[in-house]
Amino acid sequence: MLAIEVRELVVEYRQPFRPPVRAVDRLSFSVREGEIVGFLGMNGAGKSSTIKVLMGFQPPTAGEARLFGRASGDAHARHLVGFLPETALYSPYLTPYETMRLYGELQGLRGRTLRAQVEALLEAVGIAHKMHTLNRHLSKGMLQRLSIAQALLGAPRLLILDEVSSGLDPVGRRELRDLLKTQRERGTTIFFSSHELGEVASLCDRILIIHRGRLIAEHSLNEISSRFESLEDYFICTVQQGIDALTQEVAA
Amino acid sequence: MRGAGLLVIFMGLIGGVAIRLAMPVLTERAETLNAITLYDRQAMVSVMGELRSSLAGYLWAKTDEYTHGGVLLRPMTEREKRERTAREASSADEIAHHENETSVIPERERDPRRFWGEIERQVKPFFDVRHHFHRPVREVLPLYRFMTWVDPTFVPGYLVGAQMLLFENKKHLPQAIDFLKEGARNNPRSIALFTELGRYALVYQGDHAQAERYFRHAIANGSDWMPQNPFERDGLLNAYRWLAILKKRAGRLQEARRWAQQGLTRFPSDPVLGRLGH
Amino acid sequence: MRVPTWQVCRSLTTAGLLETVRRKDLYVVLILTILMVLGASAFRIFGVSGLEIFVKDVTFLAIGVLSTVLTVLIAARQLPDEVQRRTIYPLLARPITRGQLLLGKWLTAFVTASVSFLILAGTAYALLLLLGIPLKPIFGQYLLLKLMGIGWLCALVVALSVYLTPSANMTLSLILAFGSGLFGRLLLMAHWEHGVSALWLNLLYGVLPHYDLFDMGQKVVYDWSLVPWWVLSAMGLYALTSGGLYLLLGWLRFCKQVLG
Repeated sequence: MLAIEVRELVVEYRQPFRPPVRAVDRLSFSVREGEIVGFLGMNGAGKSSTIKVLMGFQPPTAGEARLFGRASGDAHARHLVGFLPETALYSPYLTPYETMRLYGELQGLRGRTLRAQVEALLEAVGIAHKMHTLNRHLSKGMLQRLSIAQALLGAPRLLILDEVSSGLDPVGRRELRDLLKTQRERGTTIFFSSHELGEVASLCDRILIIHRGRLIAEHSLNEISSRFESLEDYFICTVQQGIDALTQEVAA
Repeated sequence: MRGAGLLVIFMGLIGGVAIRLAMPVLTERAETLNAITLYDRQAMVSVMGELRSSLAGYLWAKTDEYTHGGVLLRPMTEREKRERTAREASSADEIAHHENETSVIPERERDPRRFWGEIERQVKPFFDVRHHFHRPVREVLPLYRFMTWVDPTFVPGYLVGAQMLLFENKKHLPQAIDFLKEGARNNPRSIALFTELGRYALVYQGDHAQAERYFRHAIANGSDWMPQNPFERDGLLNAYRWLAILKKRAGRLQEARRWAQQGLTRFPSDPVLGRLGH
Repeated sequence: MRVPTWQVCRSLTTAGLLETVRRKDLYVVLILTILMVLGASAFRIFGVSGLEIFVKDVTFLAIGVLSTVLTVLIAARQLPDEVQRRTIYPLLARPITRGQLLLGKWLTAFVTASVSFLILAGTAYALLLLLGIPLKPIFGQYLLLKLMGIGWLCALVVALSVYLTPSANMTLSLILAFGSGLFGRLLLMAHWEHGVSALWLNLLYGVLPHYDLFDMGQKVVYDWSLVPWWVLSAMGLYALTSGGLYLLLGWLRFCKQVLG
């Protein structure tokens, strides 16, 4: 079954007295259940816009995006999804425990199940000792760990992670990698964007690269390692080719 | 929080010093002060003085609301006066006369809002102005004490406050006179307060000699300036009138005419002085 | 599976209450109210006694103004704070609809503002009792009507927060709340002085917000007797219908809004 299905997706942002800005341009791809897919691209390539449509935060201008066969805006589809936003500053007046309880309840969890999951996840991301400290007293890295923990509430079948390692120190990054590997072993589908290519290389089965809203490359990690010395070479080369191709297209 | 607390204490100290500095200025009415003296004072002193005057003015405005149990009255518009389309508040008792005043919330017959009007008449203090009532005067008396305590230069507070004391009970005459005397001490250049003291001496105590002294004092206070404030202006006019009447009643017609004619030089169109002056 | 609306509302409200208890706004307002009541009554020390009505007047003025400001502050930050902190994303990533979130945010604002108001009113009531100034039973009706008004105002502010920036929302909401009585007066004067027809007057009057009609403070100050219950029922109906309409208008826009 397909966990994510994107077809001819177009996202445009309207601006007053100016032509609209096209952030995503006829993008199509799919992610099978159980896969781990890295979603790469330069700043402003359209990664976050695609993720926003996938999560139903904004409607597509054209085309469609589906999660487990349901339209991306559907609340039922989101029941199976865990989402990590790029940077979220959780309420400074709540503790990590209370924050997790809130999101857990909104996920449909209750009672002992909720309590057990909250405690286990805070332990797993390494902030159990701060669970009753107000969020405003937590560091940026700790808030990112809290963010990861909330995404894992309700044991989602699909994880969508936007700039997953942002704000984490090297130890935190390693712990995060281990956590995501555990999720992979459980069969969770993971779709994530990141600028940390090492992290992508250590986790992904497949990589999608977009540039100016278009998909310019889609390769498995095995294909990449057979043709390029490193993921960084692959990325730079692919993006450069994409830029050339677009320049030629515009010139033509 | 600690910083805010310190700031409040600091501002309180500054305010306290400013009030102390303002006291000598504020015990004289601005219009009787030498302009240079006024401008010589610091801005802070002026601001604190304005605050006191504003609070006294607020309390003055509240007295009317208090006597009507919270029902708000407003002056009638020119059209309402001309066409008599609004109901004038009745003067049901001697406490206050409400000429050309009506209620802010209209009566059912005059209200085009129907349902909304009915709701407003229920949730806000409202009565039909034709049968309006006044709450006991004693409830409003402390306000006059309060406003003159806040601003000792607020002459209308002393004038009306003393009158209210008498309305409440005729036995309060000594307190009413004391209240006026306190006002006169705080405002030695006021005209209206001395005229009122003279009127009390004449009407309530029958002490003609004392009344004459007060009226003469009032006229002396107004000898070198023409007040624009209606209370003071009326005070000056009434001082001439009362003095002329006092002399006429004592049979000293020549003197009565002289005071009336002197008054006419200040108020040439006043019919009462006109009659007394001929 | 979608999470039931009551659970969304309960969870958001619990978190909102916790936030309010830990913020300083409520305590500042409470201290201000206590200072105003004690300040008004302190004139007894200087020999001015019999100021019961004045003390009550100041008390209800303080409660009215401060609870309105607090309500607007609380309601205006419900959605914009989530957007600004980017926590709207993990919220909407849950199996809940935007309608449920909007309703939950309104309820959070309503419960939080109501609790704050009741704390203010309760403290003021206790202070007045301590000063030997009892209140008549109409105080109960005042509380009830004011709670309806708070619910109505929260709906207006939460709906406006979807259309306006937070500062514009707060400014407009405060103007609408404090100026509502004046707008009605101006319409009446326009009717009498310039012949604006009764039909237009009633149409405009119906559209304008009427927050002032939810405040019976002046009747409490002057010890008026109880108002008929049909008045409270009618105001409850007005709060429900117009508050519901505001939330509906907010929802129509919020559903299509691009967040972030």
